Amino acid sequence: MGVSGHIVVAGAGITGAATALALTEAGFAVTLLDRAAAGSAVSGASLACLGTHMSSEIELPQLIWATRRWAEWDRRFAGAFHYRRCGQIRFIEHEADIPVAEHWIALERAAGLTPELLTRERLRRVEPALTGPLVAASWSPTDALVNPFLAVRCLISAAVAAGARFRSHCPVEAIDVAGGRVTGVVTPGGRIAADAVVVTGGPWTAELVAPLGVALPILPRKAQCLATIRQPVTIRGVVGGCKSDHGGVDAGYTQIQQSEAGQILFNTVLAGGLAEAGAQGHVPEVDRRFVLDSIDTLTRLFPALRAVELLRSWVRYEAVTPDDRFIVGAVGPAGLLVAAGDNGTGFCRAPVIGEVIAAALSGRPCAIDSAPYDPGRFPAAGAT
Amino acid sequence: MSATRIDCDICIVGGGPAGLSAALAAAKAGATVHLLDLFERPGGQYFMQPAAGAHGPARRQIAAGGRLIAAARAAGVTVHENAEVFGAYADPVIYARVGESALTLRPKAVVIATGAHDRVAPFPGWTLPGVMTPGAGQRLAKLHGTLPGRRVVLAGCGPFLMVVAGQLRAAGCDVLRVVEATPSPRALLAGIARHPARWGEALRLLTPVAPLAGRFRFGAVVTAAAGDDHVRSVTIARLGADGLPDERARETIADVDALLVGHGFRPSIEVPRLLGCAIDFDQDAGGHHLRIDRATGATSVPGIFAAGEVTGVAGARPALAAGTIAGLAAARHAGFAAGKGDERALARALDFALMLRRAYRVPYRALGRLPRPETVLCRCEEIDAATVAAAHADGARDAAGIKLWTRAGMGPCQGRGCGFGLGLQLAETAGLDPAAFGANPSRFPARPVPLSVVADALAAGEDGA
Repeated sequence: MGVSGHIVVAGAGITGAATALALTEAGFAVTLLDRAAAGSAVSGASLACLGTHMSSEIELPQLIWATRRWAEWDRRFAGAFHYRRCGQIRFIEHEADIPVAEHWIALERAAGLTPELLTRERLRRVEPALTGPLVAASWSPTDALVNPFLAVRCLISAAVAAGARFRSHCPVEAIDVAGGRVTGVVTPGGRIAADAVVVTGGPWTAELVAPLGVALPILPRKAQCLATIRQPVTIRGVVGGCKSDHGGVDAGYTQIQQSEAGQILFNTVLAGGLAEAGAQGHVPEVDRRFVLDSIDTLTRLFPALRAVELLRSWVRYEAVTPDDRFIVGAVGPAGLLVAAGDNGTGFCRAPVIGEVIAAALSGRPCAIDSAPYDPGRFPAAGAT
Repeated sequence: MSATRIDCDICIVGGGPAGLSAALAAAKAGATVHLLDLFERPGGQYFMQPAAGAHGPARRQIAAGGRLIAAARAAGVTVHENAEVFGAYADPVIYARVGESALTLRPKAVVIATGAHDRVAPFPGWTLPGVMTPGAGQRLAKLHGTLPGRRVVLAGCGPFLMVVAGQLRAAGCDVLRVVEATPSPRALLAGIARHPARWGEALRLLTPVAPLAGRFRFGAVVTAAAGDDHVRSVTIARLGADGLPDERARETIADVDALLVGHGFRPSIEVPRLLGCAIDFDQDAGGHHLRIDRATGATSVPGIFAAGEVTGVAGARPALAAGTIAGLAAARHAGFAAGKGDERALARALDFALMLRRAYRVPYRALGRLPRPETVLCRCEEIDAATVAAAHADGARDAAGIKLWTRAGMGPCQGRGCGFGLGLQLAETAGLDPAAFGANPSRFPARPVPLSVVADALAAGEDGA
């Protein structure tokens, strides 16, 4: 595309923060805006697992690139966001799921990664408190966790130090277009001129670009989580459920981990939680069915935690696309780009998104294959 | 599994003056009423009921509270003591913990009477042992007959300081100083003079503190407390014309073993916020408080009514009148023919409360300037002022942003304790508007509760359970 000048990035979650940093380092003048506090939407609710395991077969090369970039950032920013290479377990409750795990392990090992299948005995050494009724587990030792709040703050601060401007509580209300080109954004504080606008607004993205004739297939879906009060170190790594064809918890999604502050964070999602367009504007209380399912799974896997006190719940909205992949690139009028569709696993992918956008706007080759994120796979998105 | 499920007409959350009067009114109208109270005995801070019964300096209040509790019970109200409400959904359903058991109520209407908690602002030394709130000190003395200390300094703002000063003196404390931020008692005395109906009450308030007259310091604030393992000395400073402490007009009080400091109360809005009840902000009414229709106590959520301090701090008299109004409205909502309560009595009580509010001046500016960089602002997570300032410098502009980037407000109290101080400090040092700064929004559960109790309570509340 080869744009020069001033770029507005609308949305300061982890995707927007990584995008703003990549664009600033590519030499653009960047203004990063958020409707509220930075990272206060789904990024702040994220369990921030940086993993390659059992995530996406199609995106495995991109995930490997992303996890390496995160490790580089950890060194570059001197541990500012508390990167921990704690590993990830996917627990297996049925013998029939072992071949599923073996399938993922084989394809990840072929890509140079080191996951393996753990027997119950080895599992006990890797995650001693995980004493629930399991038949086996898969184990990916290179997967990591970061503090999601500090990761957003660190990338924004790095972008600002390199010359970007950041404003919170400054919602983009509309995107101005003249002569088929984006010319700026409208905010309550006034108009901001721009040569290009990148919308990194998660579930708010679709409604922001809709007036420009761009129809993005992005819907909000509830992302809910629970936290206990702080505990002594009990859970060492990320504990998730193995992908499975079974019903019950196996058909849903579970993630359990202990924060560096000691709180145990956990969620089990059995029902879909997909919401109407626009639902992201109001954060409701947590679903009671979700609370019951999550406590049930946690205490089945970690029976010793039954008496632990629940501290807090939170609900945000993740942005869901039909094929579970981000939509990243130019759409609609010249100078308009989008980067949204986290599907609940966006945190890890943020460096990839930043690179794809920076390459597109600089007109240089991208360091990674951006095809999985091509907006053109949804014709109504009006890819340019 | 240990859970009790109760389907009833009305659930009252909180057993202080507002909750008790609401319960009494609703029960008299014929409703089945269950009242949940946090403590061993209902009464709240105002009608606190010691195990020993009504004696001591607060015996009139204790006796009046005892009569109200007895009347409510006689009218058929079921009181659940030690009931910690941790969840509420607008069905409506109320989830509580009683010891290790779950209690789930499915009422037709709810009256929120959760009261308020002490409002504290951080200053150097405020986390030392021996530094506590006037409310906590009063609780020790009233309930347990324990003195918060022998040589006590009371400080802050508001008529409650005088109440506690009188009670502590009567209980045997040496009250060294009463440090009141308001410049002089003139507005208070003039206001009382305009309300002859309250002269008797005022006399009962002022008489016990009259011997302490020489120990009052008006127009001053505590700027620091010091001591190694316990508070030993307290520094106070006079407030200048700019509202900030004048460091040249300082006084250090030595040989102190307790400092009781608080600047009024914050409405306890956690449970009604879970229900989605709308709030307003008025710093002089305690900050964020529930928005209600004064004629009925109705909140913005159908079937949820509220009364007392949670609707804006105004004291026990308005709470009693508003409780009756809300209890009757809740009974009508539940299908009972009930009256409307005495709105004029509430108006008169509120009028006096507003006079009191205007007679006192909380030194917001000064409080926002007291913390030093190393002063802890959030006690649960031990976050200091320098850490908060750095997050502001990086772009955090509200309670949510500060919390995400510093952990201030993420601990067990979820910002109940530190929210006021954080807002003041950022108002003063960074020009942020305390109203826009916001509060840490309460989320389920409203207080920490064992996973097993949560699971039992939620399961018991399900339809068909």
